[in-house]
Amino acid sequence: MAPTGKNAGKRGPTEKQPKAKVARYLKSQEAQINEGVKSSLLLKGTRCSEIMGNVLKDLRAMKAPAAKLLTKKNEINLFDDSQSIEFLCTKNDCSTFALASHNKKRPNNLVFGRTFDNELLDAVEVGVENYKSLNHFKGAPKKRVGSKPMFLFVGDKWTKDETLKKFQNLILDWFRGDPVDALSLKGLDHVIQVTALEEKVYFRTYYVKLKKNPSGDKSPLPLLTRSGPDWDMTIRRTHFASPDMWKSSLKLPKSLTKKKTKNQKTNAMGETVGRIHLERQDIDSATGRKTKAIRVAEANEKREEREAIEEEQKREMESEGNMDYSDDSDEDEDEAPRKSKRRKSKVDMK
Amino acid sequence: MSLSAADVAPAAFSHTQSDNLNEKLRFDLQNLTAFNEFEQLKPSTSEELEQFMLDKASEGTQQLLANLFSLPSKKSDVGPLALLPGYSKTDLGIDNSLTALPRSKPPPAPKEETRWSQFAKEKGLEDKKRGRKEWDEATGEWKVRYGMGSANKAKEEYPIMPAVAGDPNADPWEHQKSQKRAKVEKNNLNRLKNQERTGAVPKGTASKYEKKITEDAHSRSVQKTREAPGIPLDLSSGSSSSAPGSRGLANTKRALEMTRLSTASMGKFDAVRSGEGPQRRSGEELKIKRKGMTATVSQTRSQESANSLKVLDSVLKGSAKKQKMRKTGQMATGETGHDYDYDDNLGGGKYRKKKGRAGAGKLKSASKKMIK
Repeated sequence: MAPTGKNAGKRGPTEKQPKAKVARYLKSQEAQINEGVKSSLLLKGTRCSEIMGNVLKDLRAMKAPAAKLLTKKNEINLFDDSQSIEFLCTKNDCSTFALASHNKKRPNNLVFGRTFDNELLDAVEVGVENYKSLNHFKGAPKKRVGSKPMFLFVGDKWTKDETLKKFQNLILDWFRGDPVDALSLKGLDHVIQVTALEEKVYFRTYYVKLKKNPSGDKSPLPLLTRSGPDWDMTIRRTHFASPDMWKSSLKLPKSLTKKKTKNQKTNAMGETVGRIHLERQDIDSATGRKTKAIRVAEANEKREEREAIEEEQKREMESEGNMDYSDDSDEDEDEAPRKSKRRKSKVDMK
Repeated sequence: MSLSAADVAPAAFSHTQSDNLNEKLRFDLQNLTAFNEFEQLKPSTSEELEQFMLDKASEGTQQLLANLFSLPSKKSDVGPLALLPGYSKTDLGIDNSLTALPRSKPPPAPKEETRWSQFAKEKGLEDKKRGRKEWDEATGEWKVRYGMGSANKAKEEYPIMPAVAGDPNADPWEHQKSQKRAKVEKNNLNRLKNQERTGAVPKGTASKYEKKITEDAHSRSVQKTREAPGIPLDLSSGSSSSAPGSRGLANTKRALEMTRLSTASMGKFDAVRSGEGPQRRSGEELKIKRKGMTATVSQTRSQESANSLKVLDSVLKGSAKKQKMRKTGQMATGETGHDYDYDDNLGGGKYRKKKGRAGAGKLKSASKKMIK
């Protein structure tokens, strides 16, 4: 059981730690830097036909093991109220879903959707026609469980129509599987082709057998056979995320985004040179930290000065004893040096 | 000139001839996708349509595989792996070849380091994983590091308990307990401080806990200084500092008032002594009423005992209202199962096990009223 929406993962003011089981559960629900495959929740709406039931089963087969098929019918109308689908997706830990239903107004209805941060992000409602299930192609070879599909989007409408642009993103997100950084190419065994022609979208799955290229290229030649499931779609209602929500859903964790290194350049020799920008320095009035040597030197200087002054004073004291008291000019000199300059000159003149 | 298999049996390779690759595709190799963005003409019949799509698929897959097999690869246990151009290697805004797909959850905030981990990083200390068992010299066997049967616990159990070092009159078991308690509290406090810093726990929790520790310590010391049980609280040494062992004028008056109120009639019919003023707080003022205590109603033994048990319950567990609040999790200080209840707005509790009158529950007075 999960607290939904924004309250997921928050604890009340208490000094007690949650029980180990609760702690483990909360940790599993935490956001991760690298997210794995998006699990799909497959569920039925108010009423579901046999065809739509088979569609869900085939979707599970395609997405296994990252798919969860629920058997009960749900009264969900997510274009009106998205709360119940959000709750179910959070509870089952699935961020993509497919809701199948069937009624007179919307026959063979399938809603593909995804959530972000426990809230509905996108949802596209399609009508399914000309459905060919996996059973229809009984003898044909099928993809292995858990293999990653290759994708092919054919048609110019994918770039021109805004709805189709977003639908393309949704399909890619829904079916792509584990977003890995390295892949064993020998394991590629199927391709999903989605063609947009004249108001309809054709979904076809082909089993790919990789054969050695006779021209000697490293890349193999693929041999395609129809494997199912295949269906044709007409787009009905859509609900797309607001630009803000879309923007925040694309944000990458800081550790994954490339860090720009400024003021560094690697030249042709392979040496990395950096530039340091300094402000104008006023060397004359700059005060810095004094090292011990400088402090000692300054102290010595002061001491020497003091000693010199004391010595001079001593000498003067001695010389005073022999001095003639009538000599005014010398006394004046000691007391007020500035004034004596003038007087001295006057005296000299005299 | 060598013959290729394609020349010998061209029909077998009709789908995969490299001459047919005339359409330029756009690739998103991270998601193994190829985009054919040219305008296509829809074939008239459905068979032609299927064939058309098969052709496009074959061509597209071949081109896609050519691109994938030209990616750099790395060696691994399962064989060579092609390195896909990941999001981490390029700036998502600049490289248009990658389709921006949204995440399931917003990226986690970078975890703030605890004080210890910062220190460990600076010093270059590594996380040493210690094993679960430890060699105990005393017993000469491998014992678990903590918990039941651990060597640490055994160290604390003395056949002859030594006295406390500084104070020979102190209780050594109490001392041991208090030391352990102090350790646990210090650990908890530091843990809470760390969690407050990272934001896992709201601010102020650590200081609240610190306050709680000091209050508990104080109450424990107060309990120690209390005299033998049975002495009324207002007589104990804690209350009146001036004359311990006596109530004092104010407290005596208070005690008298309380005894007056504690009769069955709330002191209404008690004989008033000379010098005793009118009752200051009457039962009516305080709105205390004792139900069912009149002599005229004949109560059966069960009802009387039930009433007494009710009173006992309210003393021990709190009032009925409080008990209900506790049951529905309103008084919980932490997480409860009630936090995770989903309100589907259908309203609860409308289900009845039995139909009709039987499902209505106990009828206080049997009547032929219609029960829906």
